[in-house]
Amino acid sequence: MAMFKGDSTAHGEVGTVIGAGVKVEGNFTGEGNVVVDGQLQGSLKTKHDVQIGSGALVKANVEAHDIHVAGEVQGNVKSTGKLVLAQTAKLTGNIEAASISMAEGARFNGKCSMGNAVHADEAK
Amino acid sequence: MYTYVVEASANTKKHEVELARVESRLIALDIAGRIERLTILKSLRETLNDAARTAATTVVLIGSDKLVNEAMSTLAELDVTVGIIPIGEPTRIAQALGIPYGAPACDVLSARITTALDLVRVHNRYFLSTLHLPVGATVTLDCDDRYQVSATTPAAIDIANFSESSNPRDGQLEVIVRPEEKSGFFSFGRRSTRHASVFPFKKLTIRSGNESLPIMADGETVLKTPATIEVAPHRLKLIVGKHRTFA
Repeated sequence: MAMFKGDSTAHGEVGTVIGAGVKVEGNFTGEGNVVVDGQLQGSLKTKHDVQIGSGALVKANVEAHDIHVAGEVQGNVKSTGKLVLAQTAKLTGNIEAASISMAEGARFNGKCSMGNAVHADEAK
Repeated sequence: MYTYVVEASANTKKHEVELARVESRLIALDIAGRIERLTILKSLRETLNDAARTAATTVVLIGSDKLVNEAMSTLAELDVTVGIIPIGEPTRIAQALGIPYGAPACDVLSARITTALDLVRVHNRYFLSTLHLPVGATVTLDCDDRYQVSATTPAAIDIANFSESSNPRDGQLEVIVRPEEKSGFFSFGRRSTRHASVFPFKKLTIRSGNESLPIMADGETVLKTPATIEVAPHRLKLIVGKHRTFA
């Protein structure tokens, strides 16, 4: 996924950028990839990918395909693809994702469920 | 039938040679038509309306970005195809449309690749390219009545139809917010621009508290805040070049 290569922000493929020094409040529904380096409060939803930078503060439920978190998220995170928590990530909320990767040092408080969990419950 | 409208500032001795080249090239390409030279006494709006009334199917603007922006509000209401021959300065709009400066633009007209472009609409006025709010008081942006954007520090704001990532055919505009902050010790108090924020939208309301800020196009104040800015999708039929900046 080109969007998450390295630590830098590949703005070329991004539809929306919430940069440092900017605050967004409300229900944000993006058409393309979304990069958050500033503050977001409400909800964030896109069918594409979301990158939450190390200085970002997100107080919102986040729903997207691939999600890369390096900043602080207070809310539930739902990924239909891959969820990556970087070393600097602080996530307080529940996670739902098909695939999860968590770096050493990342902080996560909440429940975590993956795609197969649904099938396991059904088997019982 | 073609009507050519020449901006007053292009109709001067400085551009005399280039204008003569344009006229020769139009004859050579067999697309010559009526030429209307604007003066202080000749209104652009009336000239364009007259052209449409006299069955002009193509109106070609000969001049700078200023003429293009001034003509947009009238042209958006007329059923004509629009062409541009850039002469004078600045001509950034023509560049983005892939139209070369001066006489070579006649070949773009002759090739006649037409496309329907979105326009920026504010209070029944139309613009083709960019509106700008200089750094001033902190503003609040209401995007599509769904979310609100505010800069935590004073910011410059651009409303763009053309930009690196936006396309003037996609039915939406972009607001670009550039917060400024004081730089480090060696900057001696100068301000630097941080990473820009970019939000696509169809409708945007700009508020600036009790203070009214200027909204500018090509360095001139055209409106003041508060203002609601909307996209007018596929509003203008325009002749573009092969080397335009969008698909």
